[in-house]
Amino acid sequence: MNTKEYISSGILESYILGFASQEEAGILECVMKNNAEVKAAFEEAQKTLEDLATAQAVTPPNDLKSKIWNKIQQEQIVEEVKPVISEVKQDLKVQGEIKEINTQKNNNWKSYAVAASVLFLVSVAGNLFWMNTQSKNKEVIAKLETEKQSKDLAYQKMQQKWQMLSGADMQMVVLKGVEKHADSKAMVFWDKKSKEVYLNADSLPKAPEGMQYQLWAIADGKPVSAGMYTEEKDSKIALSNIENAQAFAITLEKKGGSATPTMENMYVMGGV
Amino acid sequence: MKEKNEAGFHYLYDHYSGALYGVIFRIVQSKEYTEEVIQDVFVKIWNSILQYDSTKGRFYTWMINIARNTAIDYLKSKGFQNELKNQPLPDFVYNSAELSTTNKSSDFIGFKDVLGGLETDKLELIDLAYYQGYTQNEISEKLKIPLGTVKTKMRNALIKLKDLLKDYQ
Repeated sequence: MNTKEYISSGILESYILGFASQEEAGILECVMKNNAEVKAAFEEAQKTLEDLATAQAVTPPNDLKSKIWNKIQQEQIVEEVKPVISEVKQDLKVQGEIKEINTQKNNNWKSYAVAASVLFLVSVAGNLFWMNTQSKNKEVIAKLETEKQSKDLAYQKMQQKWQMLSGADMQMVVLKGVEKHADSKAMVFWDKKSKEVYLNADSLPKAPEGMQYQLWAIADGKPVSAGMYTEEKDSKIALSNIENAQAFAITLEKKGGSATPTMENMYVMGGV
Repeated sequence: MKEKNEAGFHYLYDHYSGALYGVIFRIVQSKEYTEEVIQDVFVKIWNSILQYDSTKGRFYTWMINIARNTAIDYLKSKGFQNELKNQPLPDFVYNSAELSTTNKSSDFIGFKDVLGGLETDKLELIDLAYYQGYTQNEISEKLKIPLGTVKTKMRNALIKLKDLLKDYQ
């Protein structure tokens, strides 16, 4: 499918009217970043519907504007008042406690006893608090240490990738998780000279038995297989040679790969 | 506008309220409902203005879509949807000079319609998708044409509409 066919397929209109599937939308957003013709057609289609809305405008009643502004302000006030109310509630509670203490003033020794026990309680609470913080600090230190270790590991890995990248013609393409797999990510390294495509995808979940990740190059809206991924190939062995692509994406496919991507199994995608 | 002050609201309202009112009116087909819906629409726009993402479309289009979706949801929640779907297209869709529906005719008087210049099949498509909230699959079933054809026809309808709007302005 070339650019013209892609545009006339009606995908832009589907997207604008909110009919495009998440995958279609992802591909379109990617293609638009790289293809000025598609982007221009997208702007134009939006403008048509905007012009329609302008042409069909109806003057609303005069009092509507102030009605809406009042409604907006009321909502804002409600939001601002909520925290204030809870503060006020706390203040009232404290005042109540103070009053209880005051009412016992006629019995002096009682009030001293109360004062003493309050002081004692405060001191116990203080100690408990202090002990608590101490153990919390220890926890934090332990946590920081393990964090540092895993960061060192990550740093080593980064350096390995860096070395691979040192080839002057290497282009990096970040693939971000689609909505269903928002935490997933991967990276494509594309040698612009030899056209070889490498994939770093070791952060994707392990592929289930009989399944394999497949890399796709999206050129003019059409996905082309860019090879099968295995852990051994990660960042080391080229998956395929790709001449032209505006975006890359990864789907989970049956072992050996599919002719066309299974859109609902898309994990990540990213524009070049 | 993103700072959410009153001047921003005035700008928003003065520039877009007429168009949004028109869109909603076309969908819910009564002044009373339109006034209810447009209030929600402006509150929604106001509250989610920081979430507007310019890479996903133009601001005006974004607002139109909020208006369309809110109006269509409103009809669905009122249980009007099935009623509407089983009815033939409202008269106003076909009437180029003046809009007149049987029960709410007064609301539509003097409402000239650029859509009247479209061929019937294109008009029906835009009406179903844009004003009645049919999904493309539902349109494909209803009109008994393949989904791919629905999409390309929709594009052709909008291209024709673009021409009409040029003359109209």
